[in-house]
Amino acid sequence: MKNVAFFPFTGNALPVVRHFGRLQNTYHVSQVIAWKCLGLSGKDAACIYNHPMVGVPVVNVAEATNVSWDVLFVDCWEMKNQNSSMDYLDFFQKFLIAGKEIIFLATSYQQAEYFSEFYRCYPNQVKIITADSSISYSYGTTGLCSSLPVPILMVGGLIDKSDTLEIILALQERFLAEGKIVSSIVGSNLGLLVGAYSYQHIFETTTSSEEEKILRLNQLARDIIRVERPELLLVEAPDAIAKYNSIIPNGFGIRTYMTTQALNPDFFVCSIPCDLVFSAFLDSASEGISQKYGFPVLAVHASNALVDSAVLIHEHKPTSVHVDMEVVTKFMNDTPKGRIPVYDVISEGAGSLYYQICDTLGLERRHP
Amino acid sequence: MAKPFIQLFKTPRCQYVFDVNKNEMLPVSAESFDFLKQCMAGQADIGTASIEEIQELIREGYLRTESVVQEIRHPYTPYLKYFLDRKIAKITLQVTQGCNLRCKYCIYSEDINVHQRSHSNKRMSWETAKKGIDFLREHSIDSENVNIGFYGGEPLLEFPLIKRAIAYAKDVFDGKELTFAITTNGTLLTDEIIDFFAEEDVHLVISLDGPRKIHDKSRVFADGHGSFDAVMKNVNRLKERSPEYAKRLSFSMVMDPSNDYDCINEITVASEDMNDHTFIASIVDRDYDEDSVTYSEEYSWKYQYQLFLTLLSLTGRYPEKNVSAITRGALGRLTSDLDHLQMSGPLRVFDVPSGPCVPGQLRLFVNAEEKLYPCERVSESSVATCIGTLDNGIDVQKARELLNVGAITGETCRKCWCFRRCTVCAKKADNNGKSLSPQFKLSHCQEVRASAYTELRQLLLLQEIELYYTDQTRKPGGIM
Repeated sequence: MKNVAFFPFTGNALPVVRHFGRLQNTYHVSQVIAWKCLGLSGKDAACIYNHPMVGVPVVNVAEATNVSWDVLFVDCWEMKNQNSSMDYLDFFQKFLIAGKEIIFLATSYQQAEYFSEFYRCYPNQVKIITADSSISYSYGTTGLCSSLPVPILMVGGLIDKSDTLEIILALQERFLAEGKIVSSIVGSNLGLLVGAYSYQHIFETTTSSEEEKILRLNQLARDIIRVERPELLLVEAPDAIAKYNSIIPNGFGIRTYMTTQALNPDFFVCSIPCDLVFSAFLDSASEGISQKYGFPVLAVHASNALVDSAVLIHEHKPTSVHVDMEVVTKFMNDTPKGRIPVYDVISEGAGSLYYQICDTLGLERRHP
Repeated sequence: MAKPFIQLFKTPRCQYVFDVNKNEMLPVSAESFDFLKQCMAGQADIGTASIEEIQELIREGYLRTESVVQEIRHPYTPYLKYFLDRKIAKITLQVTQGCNLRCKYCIYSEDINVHQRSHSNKRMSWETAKKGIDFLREHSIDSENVNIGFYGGEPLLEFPLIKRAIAYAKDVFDGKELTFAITTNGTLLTDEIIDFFAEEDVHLVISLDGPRKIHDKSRVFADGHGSFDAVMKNVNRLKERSPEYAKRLSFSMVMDPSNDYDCINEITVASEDMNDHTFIASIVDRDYDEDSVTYSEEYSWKYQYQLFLTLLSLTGRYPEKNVSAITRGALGRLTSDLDHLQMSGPLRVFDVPSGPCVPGQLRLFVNAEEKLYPCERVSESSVATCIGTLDNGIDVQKARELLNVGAITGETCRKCWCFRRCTVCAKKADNNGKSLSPQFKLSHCQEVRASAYTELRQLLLLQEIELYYTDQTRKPGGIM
């Protein structure tokens, strides 16, 4: 098994790091490399979201020398989003000279081109993966949005995308352990490393109309189903399910709406900050989602990411603070149970959620 | 006689009732308004209302006689620890306590201050500045962007330290959006400093109280001569040397309302060049010298007149370029307040008046002695507002007390119509004792309520302009 590292490590990569060892058997994560700004050097990777430890240490970019890993996974999407003055080319070159392999997860053809010089110089050490190269399209787009022959479970957040990838990978892991085949489509190209598919390339393109994007999403799902024959397709909502309020439109949930048009999900699992998991609120939110999208909320995940109202009011954008997992447990214990079941997927709720999904879909399950 | 928990407002066109519990402003008929006015004067009982509109409002849950608030407690109270551990957004470093000016109203002045430290030669060491920046990094993992401010005394007395701190912060915050800000008296700006600030895009705020005759009344050097010429020479130099950067220059203006407002305002309207800048105006702070602020008639009515011209300019009936940057800024803050008002929602069973920020999270102040305060405006000699040290971190219990400062006057606050418009924070309750003073806090209430009342009326007027004066305010030629 080859030892690998992830760069740049951000909260988006944490679910992949946590489930990596159980969703593939080629690599072992030995380290993640983060920007200095996070101040995480020497700490466990899960500190980034105050989650239970994953046993993977963080080093910052300046300390990433004399490394023990063999392969570096580079999430190019995060690179373009960061405010860094570092010299990437120099950073990567250093590892290539030391004989390490680098796998670039590029967001677009143009970005793949940018790194292709490395491929030309180090063809045996460099690999460039883009989302659209992860599945072969045997049929062209038909121009029709066809119905899909497997149940679709969408996972999204009410206010932001907290823990949605985590929920998908935790479920994927459960299904895999029970010998069931599920497929997943997620927003991050990191999902490609653990057997999921990504729609990042579809939403990021500027040359397609909204209608074309919806058709391409539908086509992607059909291709996945044709190739993998899953019993269930898990889909991560691309943005928050709806606008937060009149001042924080949250993208109006447009991309999520487009995804629902493309895939017509059957059920929804909603991630909600733990301080909002009151049954009256959940019932009202579920009713709103059901009316807007036509599918019910099957279950709720209580997230440890609480919305920072002060920043919300002053900067008009939702940001979160991550409380201890004990706070989530306390909220769940102190809140009377309602119609919609609430789980904490991060700690130990993934199993219960899995059973509920199996029961709802009539799938066999090994344990009661 | 039962009084509803409301506040009444009247504008030239309409009557409104502000339902405090619901945090909603409702237009009502003249008849309802008069009845509610009688209720508030104790001449009628809300329970006996026969007016259909009033009855409907009562049926809909409005006009309750009691505040729904049972306990003064900020919703962040149980989670404050996490905000202070993981989501600090800004620190302000007091790089020096020294200053090359001796402004007559300065809160640090030896002559007038009662409840503040005095000018001193204490300087922040490099080790302390570095420790402060490291502290921010260790406590900001959940902040998408961070800001470091430099404050004094006069911070430019320590320019080499600022330069070093910026270089260090850029290194340790690599990967995160990082911005810098500095508030200076502007007298020490040199070409080197201007170039450096422009290069690093430091948000520069220069203190300027008005034209020479106003500015030099108070803002003087130690030998007593005015600083206006020195400041303006440097401002002009900055504009000449770095015109693009200069466009983002802001001015902090301390207004002494005993002066004629038109005299103060001259600095903005006299030149288009100056009027394009942002002016952050505030009234001179007398909290720490136990004196009261005096408003001259020339200040009051002339300010209101300028505000009126600004309103007219919003409707296209007065040239925008002739409007004072001071009132333009005030009106801009007012309209953004409307958003905040709408967002803050109805009162809850446990709730807190709107005054306090989250102490330590939004603008943590680190003084030259490594003590931590909620912001740079509080007294550094106060025990009550000191929330920790760089070595020991933030005392969460003390920060909780400041966050819930409303609790010390809970019974009064619970019943106050200004609950969601309150601007009283811990600073206004700090009588420089060991703990916060309820009496001192309450002494500010009348002024705060009066100011909130005026602002809400202005907001109503702004809304009415759109509703009732469209024809008069539509620009010639229509939308084409």
